[in-house]
Amino acid sequence: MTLGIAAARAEVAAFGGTAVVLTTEPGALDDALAIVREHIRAVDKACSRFRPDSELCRVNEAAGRPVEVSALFARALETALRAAELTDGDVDPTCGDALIATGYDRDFDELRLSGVTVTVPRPRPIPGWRTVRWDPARRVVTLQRGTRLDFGATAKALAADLAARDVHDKLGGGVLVSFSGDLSVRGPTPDGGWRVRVTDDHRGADDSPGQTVTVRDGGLATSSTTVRRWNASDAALHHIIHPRTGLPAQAGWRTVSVAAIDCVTANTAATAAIVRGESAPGWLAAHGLPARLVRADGTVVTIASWPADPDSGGGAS
Amino acid sequence: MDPKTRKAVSARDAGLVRVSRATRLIGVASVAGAVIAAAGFAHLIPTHLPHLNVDNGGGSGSGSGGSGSSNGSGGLQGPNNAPGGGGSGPSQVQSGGS
Repeated sequence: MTLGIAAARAEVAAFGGTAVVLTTEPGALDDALAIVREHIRAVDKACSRFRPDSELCRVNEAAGRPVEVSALFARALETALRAAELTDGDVDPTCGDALIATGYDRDFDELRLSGVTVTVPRPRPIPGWRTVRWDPARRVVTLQRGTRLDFGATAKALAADLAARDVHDKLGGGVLVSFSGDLSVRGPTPDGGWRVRVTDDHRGADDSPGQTVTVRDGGLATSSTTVRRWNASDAALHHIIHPRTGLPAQAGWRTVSVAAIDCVTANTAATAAIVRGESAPGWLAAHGLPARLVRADGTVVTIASWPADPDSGGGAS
Repeated sequence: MDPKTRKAVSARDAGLVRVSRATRLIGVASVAGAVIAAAGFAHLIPTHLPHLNVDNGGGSGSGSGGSGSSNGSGGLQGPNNAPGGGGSGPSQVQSGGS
């Protein structure tokens, strides 16, 4: 269903980036924003790796011992484990220690502003998601000693899905919730759908290199190695860890955008595509996931029913 | 058939009947035991796989994993409507790396 009305828009800071809330009902925007803020607060408190008082930090510090967790943390954990299972471990929540080892040990704004150059120690093996012992009935998680969880690939997307659904259920109308470009859509949309610019950096200008598409349901997410980058003594690093090496993935694709049934699925697939490299197009096509992949040289490949990129010289498959 | 042979045949037949009865008894007892055990331990049989199940609820933490709005198939599923071409007009939001 589409509506021929103008949408209302609000923007706030969230999860180290920008949150955007769009509603088809202009009068619903303030209430929608309040609901979204509550989800931001709750997910950040449960899942942030950079807040000492977060539940995630408590669980990581207790590695080796069972820890009872909240319902929201349980949901985030199950979402992360499901992502790992569906991607054969390409998106693995036990990469926290590897991220820290590569220097990503603080909020990224601090990392970027400090301009530090890190020395990366010998790569550490990822413990692997199968080592996480999870008792859903008692909501008790036990990490292997030395394991640190990181929900970076799924928690923000989960928050977008939960917030969009909550806004739609409570206020009616159509809504789009975007956290740093990982977006979830619920309800009716403006004519033709929500207009989304897919590009390397979600903070980019409207005319940044990329493509504008319309989205009418589900989720759309973009993973990129071009934004969260920092310097090591002998290489530039980024935040997408390859579970098999414990190091940033050797990305054949600099940016991957995927549309899916929801934002979690989209972000899971986009991150897995960066890790998979050259086999990503076939893998995405096999799952019927519309996607746009950008090589380091800017060549674009579109997958499944993703609309052709008019500015691209790249092929479609 | 001489009496000695007849007696041997009778003994064999009686033995076969006893073995057959014992086999049936064991079979029935096995089935009954399995039913009783299943009923008694049914609560221990996993009815959901936490990493695969998806629901649309508010997050109970009781094994209903997933994305909150995801599909029920447990797989990576595309949108109901693929993205459309956006033409050259302005966008409302950006999707990019963060």
